[in-house]
Amino acid sequence: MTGYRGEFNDGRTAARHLVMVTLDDKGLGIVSDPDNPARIERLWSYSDLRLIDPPRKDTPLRLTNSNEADARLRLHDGGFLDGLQQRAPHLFLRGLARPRVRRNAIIVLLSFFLVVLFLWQGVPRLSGPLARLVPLEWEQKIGAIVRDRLLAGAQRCEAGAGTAALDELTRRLTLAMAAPPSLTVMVADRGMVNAFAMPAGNIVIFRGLLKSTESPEEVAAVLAHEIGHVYHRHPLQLAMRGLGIGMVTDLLTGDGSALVELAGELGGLLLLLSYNRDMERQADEFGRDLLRRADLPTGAMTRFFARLHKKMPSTNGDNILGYLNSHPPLEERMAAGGEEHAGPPALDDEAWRALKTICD
Amino acid sequence: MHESLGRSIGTGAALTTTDSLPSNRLRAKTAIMNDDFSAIARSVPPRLEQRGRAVELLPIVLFNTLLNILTMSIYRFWGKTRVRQYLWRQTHFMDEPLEYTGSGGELFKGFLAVFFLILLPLGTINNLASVYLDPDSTEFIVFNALFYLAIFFLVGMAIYRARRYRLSRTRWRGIRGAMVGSSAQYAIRYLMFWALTLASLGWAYPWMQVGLFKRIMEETRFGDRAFRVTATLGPLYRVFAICWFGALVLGLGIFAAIEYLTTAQLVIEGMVEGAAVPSWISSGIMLVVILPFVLMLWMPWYKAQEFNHLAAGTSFMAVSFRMDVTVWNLTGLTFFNLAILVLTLGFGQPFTQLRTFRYFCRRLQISGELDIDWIQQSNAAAPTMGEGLADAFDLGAV
Repeated sequence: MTGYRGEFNDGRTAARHLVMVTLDDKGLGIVSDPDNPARIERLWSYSDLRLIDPPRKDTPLRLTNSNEADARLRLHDGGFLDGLQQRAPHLFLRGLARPRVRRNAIIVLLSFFLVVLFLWQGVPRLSGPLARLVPLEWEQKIGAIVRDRLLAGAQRCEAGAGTAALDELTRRLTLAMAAPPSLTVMVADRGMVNAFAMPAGNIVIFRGLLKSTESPEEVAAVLAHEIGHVYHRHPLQLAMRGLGIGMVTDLLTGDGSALVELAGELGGLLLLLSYNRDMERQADEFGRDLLRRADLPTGAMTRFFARLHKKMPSTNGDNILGYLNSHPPLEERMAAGGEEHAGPPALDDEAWRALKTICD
Repeated sequence: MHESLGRSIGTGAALTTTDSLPSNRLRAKTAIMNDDFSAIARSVPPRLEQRGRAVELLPIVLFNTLLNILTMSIYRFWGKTRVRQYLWRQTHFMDEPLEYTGSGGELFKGFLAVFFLILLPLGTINNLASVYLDPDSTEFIVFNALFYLAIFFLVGMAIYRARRYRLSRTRWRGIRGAMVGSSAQYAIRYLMFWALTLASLGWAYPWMQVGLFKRIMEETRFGDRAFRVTATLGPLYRVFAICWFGALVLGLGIFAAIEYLTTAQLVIEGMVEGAAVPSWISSGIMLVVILPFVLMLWMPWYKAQEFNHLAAGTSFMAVSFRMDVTVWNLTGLTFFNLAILVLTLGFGQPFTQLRTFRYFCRRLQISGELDIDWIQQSNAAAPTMGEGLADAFDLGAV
């Protein structure tokens, strides 16, 4: 039987013992010089052996034993590597063939799948029930934060007659509801063609959108749609969804600072994530129903969108794109229909003019 | 099979003196050893050497990058471990390689624990505060101050705990390292020293560096043996004073130039008639803003001195250290590492780690007789998971 020269550390001190190593059926034998006062004699079974580095011909091989985890054996002889490979082939398995690596890969894949599932299905489903749990006081604070962020830099348009006209429109719609929510409706001096519903009944219409309307009924339709979002508590659901997604991405990237700044990001998150199709459909349905009950024409909404659509390729196209993109396809809205109504106008001419020029 | 066995070079158990082993005795023992072992057993000078090569690191880095992208960076714990295994086993002390025994799973567990026990509660509290407190109120200001103090404290803690984890997973000849102090106490020092440094316009910085280094090194163990730090403050303050006043002069120069140019610009545009004299208050504020940046320009010079001074003031058993870092090669190292990071979008970080490792191994000289046989295994408790905090705050070079 051949012996191989090696160096042994017993794991109790850093001393180096020169030893002879043998490979036989029982296991790996380690024996030191008989005169050595600290006599070394070990028999390591092949199943307990562990390689410290990936084996290579040109570097000394390092070994340890799971029953004596602090001890180290180091061999310089290339012949030993071949001998060990024959006796203990399980040490030389690579990649996925190694049981631990395979197990870890399965765990990682599984957790990855779970995270994707949670983001895709869990977060949207949970956001509704969670939103209902949020106390009103909270919602009001969140609403105020989001509104301030949205309005940052933009003036709130207020003109006695114009504001009165807007309030009149809002009152007319809320009167038609069984349990009217408390609403804060305002116009902001921004050129974008857009309107937003935010937590706690905050609704902001941009000047750009107001300018694109051609009748008070169209403004009423936009307002009814946004009230629909408020009624279904969509804004808060979005905030919850944003929080959930933010939390998961933080978990993945491990970026704690992002989590810490989450409060400040709330407004941004809300704007980044537009309402999904289902929410828009719900708001549309609610809006149409509300208009009908308030004795206002439901066709105005369809008309307004059709006009925006036609204008879209024109110069300030991208302004309009934003609003259209987040809403159901026009064809779908047309199909949903909307009859002309021969009721009284939503606002008289004077009030309508005041509303159109509220920002001037 | 026993005929060619040699004898061990010195065995701690056979010796009775606890002081340093006479070196001639060691040599005598080596001399009577069997010829067969002379090749392995020749005495080697205590020297640190990094033999890693970028070519060998490349496949690891490429594989890690791919998996990081595929797993949305969750793989980073395992990838980091593979890089460390490589860097450690290529680091040789007295011709014998180090060993890294940490695992990706331990890092992942550490991360999860910190995320759920610290980051999530902190984030929630911060969220609640910004919803409930009026941004202009004193309560909010007090809350914010406390919040950032807590973050600073956690950063100090993270530095210490990451080091504890790494040392406990670092072995040489089977003996592992350890940190034996309290991370909370270190974090308090860290917080206080930084507060002092800011309040003193930087003047407490050398004191902090020496104080924190001393604390960390004296609580560092290899096996059961401690490091000793006797570095003084005097020589560092001499360098720092030159840098600080140099920065002040340079800062004033830049400041004056900016003032002159902006005033001239305003005069040209007809906005100001003649040269407007800036008020003392705005000048002061501007100077305070400029000063740190100018101080940074001098930093490499001070830093090089600091490395050398701290190393020279450190000893381990009967061994002393010397470092010869110079401004130019330190700047070169920093600059190229930065270039690598920028050009590889951060994925090339392991290469910068290899370069830094190699640089410091090459620059460090160890002298004196090291009585290795006396070093016993560490009995300090080793953490079961690691570095969650350091990961959260993006700390730690390796």
